[in-house]
Amino acid sequence: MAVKLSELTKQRELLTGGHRLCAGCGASVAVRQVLHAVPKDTSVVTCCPTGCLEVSTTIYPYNAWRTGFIHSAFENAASTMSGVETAYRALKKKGKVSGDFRFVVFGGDGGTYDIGFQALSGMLERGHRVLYVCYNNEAYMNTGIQRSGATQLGTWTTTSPYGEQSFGKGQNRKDLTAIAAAHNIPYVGQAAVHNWRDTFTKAGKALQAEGAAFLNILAPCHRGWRYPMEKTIEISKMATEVCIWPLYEVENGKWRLTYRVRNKKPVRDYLKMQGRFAHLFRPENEGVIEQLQEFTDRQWESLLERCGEKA
Amino acid sequence: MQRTLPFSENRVFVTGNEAVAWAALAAGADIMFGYPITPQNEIMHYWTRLAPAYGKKFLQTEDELSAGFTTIGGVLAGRKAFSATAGPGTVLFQEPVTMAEMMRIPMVVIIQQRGGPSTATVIYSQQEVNLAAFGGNGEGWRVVYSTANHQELYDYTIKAFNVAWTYRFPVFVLGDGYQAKMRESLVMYDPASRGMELAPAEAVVGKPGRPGSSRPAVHLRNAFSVEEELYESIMPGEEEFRSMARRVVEHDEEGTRGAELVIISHGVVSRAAVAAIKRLKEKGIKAGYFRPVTIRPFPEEALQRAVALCPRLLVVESALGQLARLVKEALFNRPVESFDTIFRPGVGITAEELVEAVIKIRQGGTTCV
Ligand SMILES: Cc1ncc(C[n+]2csc(CCOP(=O)(O)OP(=O)(O)O)c2C)c(N)n1
Ligand code: SF4
Ligand SMILES: [Mg+2]
Repeated sequence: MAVKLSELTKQRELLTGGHRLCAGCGASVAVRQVLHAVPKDTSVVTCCPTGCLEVSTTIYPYNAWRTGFIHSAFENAASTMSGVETAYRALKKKGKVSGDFRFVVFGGDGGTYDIGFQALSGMLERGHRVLYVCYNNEAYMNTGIQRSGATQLGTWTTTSPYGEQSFGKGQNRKDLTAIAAAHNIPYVGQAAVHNWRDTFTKAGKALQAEGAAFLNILAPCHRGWRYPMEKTIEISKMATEVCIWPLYEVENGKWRLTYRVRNKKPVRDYLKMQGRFAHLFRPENEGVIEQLQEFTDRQWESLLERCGEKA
Repeated sequence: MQRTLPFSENRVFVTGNEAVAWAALAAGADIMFGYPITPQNEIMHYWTRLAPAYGKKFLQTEDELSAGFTTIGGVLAGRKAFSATAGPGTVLFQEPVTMAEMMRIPMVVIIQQRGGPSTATVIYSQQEVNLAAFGGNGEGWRVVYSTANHQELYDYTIKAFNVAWTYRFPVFVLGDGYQAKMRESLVMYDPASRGMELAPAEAVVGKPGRPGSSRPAVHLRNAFSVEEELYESIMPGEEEFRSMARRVVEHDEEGTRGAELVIISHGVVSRAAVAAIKRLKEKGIKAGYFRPVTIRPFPEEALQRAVALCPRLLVVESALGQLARLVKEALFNRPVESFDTIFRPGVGITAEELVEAVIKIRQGGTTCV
């Protein structure tokens, strides 16, 4: 599927401009890359749990979505979409709807890793034909940058501050992409906003899948991560280069790296670009970066193994 | 690590959320379990900054159900644990709080009300009265303090801990986003310096000794095999709730004797009511003011006495009759001459509006819609 960027730019955007996400927000980039992969002549229904994306794209009476759009509450986007998809199948069977529909959820990490986790797991296990996309900015941004299950060890957030008694978040993030894969659904992918081709390709496969699909897309947030807003793409790229956010997919149970890191850089190079990690470079927090490096290495090695990259 | 409070009788100018965090510290809270939601987020933010310096703890959970149950866990372990929430979070808190009611587990939850139903708005309403007082599948064994200003947020947060740990019922402090986010001056104090004693916390689990032999066993039940058993547990519980109610019920009242009309309100709206009766007085109109401070237990007897003095009522609230329902129940079978209402679900009510409404009622009009 060799797609040209010049062709994509001519495609109609299903998430239009004029929404009120911050300039430089990774979330809208992720959404547009996914929605560009929707096949022609296919209608889309999208659904967001509460969060930055939902709040900023649907300020009444405006709506930036050129799709059917549902804002569900915070914990239940996967349930809502399960209901919609089930009704669609029933209506289709009775011949009461025509045309081809796809159902896509865009949830933040708080709404996906934490409060919406149960609903997500239920949706994946039941096998609804829904694509669930987590746009992952590694914290609860809409309510003021609180830690989530996606937040990395040592990160400063408003509920994991640093100081004499704390070096930031005390736990590693959970590996939600692998957890989704453990549901044995047809397609799971981990992507990031800097690699549009990779995200686009994964979204295409996910939308073709005859069942539930899950995409976890790293979508940096300069407000919460504390970096200059024009650096979103650069930071996303660095996350992949230091292997803290590898790009891979699990297609029908087969794990595959979709981007081979040639020259693995130390996690430090990624951390030093962002204010949320600045305190880790102080002498009193020595050792935390090493811990995060070790966690990253362990995850990376086990991923390489699963992907058959270790001879 | 600092141990003593950094103030004694200091006048400060802070947000309501900050006042709550300091009050919890002053009340001897050990740990907060929280989950983000506007407009209470800053209680967590302040607490996480304050806590380490005083040897206190904070834990963020994965949702409000979990925040409620971790709070209960903390209490069972003998800690003064608390939480804060709002709106849809208050809905999810109902299961843990209802269990705490039944098991007689003390717990304090600050609710900064926002608009509903569901996610709705994030700053203001008085729509969580039903939920706070009677949410959950039980009989509503909670104490609910509805605060009107920052001083009260501070005072009643401290009181909430004491009432919870004295009587072993869950206690809600019912504020709202206006109180949460606004800055206002108040006096912060160390309760000890005012001679207030803080009720001690007691562990249920993890105590030394062998339950049943070297120490009495504790058996808190939250499940019953047969309906009669449940009935037999509820009836004495209700007795204890009622006897506690007589001791904790509170209200505020002004100028009801000889008034032409009494404005009934609660929380931040009562500030408009107080201002309105002052302005009406300047116009030569005598209006009274009545405010339940405890929404549950409701100050029924006090209200009945007030209404005996003046049977013309105007109930105002930023909800569609949630307070009015409690008022009507309190006044069941009592004669009233008029019963006007101003219901503004989700929006604030000003003193000017109340003055206008009272004048209209005097001229024979009605405010009811
Ligand atoms: C039951 C419930 N609890 C809490 C909230 C408050 N809330 C709304 S959005 C949000 C944060 C969303 O974080 P995330 O899902 O990571 O999305 P982001 O804003 O970071 O894009 C929270 C805590 C709510 N609306 N409902
Ligand atoms: S705060 Fe972050 S996630 Fe929210 S709109 Fe701004 S950049 Fe995007
Ligand atoms: Mg997020």
